Amino acid sequence: MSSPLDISQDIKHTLLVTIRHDIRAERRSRGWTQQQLAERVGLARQSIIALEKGRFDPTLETALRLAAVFDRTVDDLFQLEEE
Amino acid sequence: MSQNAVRLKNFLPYLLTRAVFALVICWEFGPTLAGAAAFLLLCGGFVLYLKSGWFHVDPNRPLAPLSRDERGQWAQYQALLRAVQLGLLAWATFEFLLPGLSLGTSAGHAGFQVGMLSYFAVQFYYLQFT
Repeated sequence: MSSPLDISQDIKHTLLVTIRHDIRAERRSRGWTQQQLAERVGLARQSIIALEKGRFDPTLETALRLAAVFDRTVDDLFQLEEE
Repeated sequence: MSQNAVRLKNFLPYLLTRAVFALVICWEFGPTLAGAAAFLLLCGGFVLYLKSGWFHVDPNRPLAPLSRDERGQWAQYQALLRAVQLGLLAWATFEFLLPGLSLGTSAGHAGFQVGMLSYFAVQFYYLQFT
């Protein structure tokens, strides 16, 4: 059984996780501009810029749309990375 | 021209309807310099919104091509929250802490103006820099 200390360690561990992706490389490999990708997935161009810079984590719906336009799975595009 | 930029000529219905809207709004000023400046400011704002990349642009909806994506909605929510907070704070400050300060307007009106300014400033910050 976990002690309260263990649980707090688990929470701390969970918080130190970031989402890793390389949307920029995927986009560039297809020769698309940020504006073209934005139109395809229904986002603003500034959101694509923020996404590529890692300043914006997309919702599940957007992640699924990105996977669809790149013809990949969400698992292929996004990975959890422990800091 | 950059491929990333939105081409204005593809959005003439949007631009023309907004220009008419700006004209109607500025009609109140009459044929004055202030009226012309307000008209140009409004038109510039509509062009800025189209080209800024802050909104999702749908070329298939020529009259209303702009919509907020999830990040835009979050920015708008944050801006509304801050606008209400700062507006109320400004109103309370002018009404109760600095009642003798000559603003040339009521504390409520000043609070409303602070709130409006905060709304656009905070939204600009979140959309452009986060």
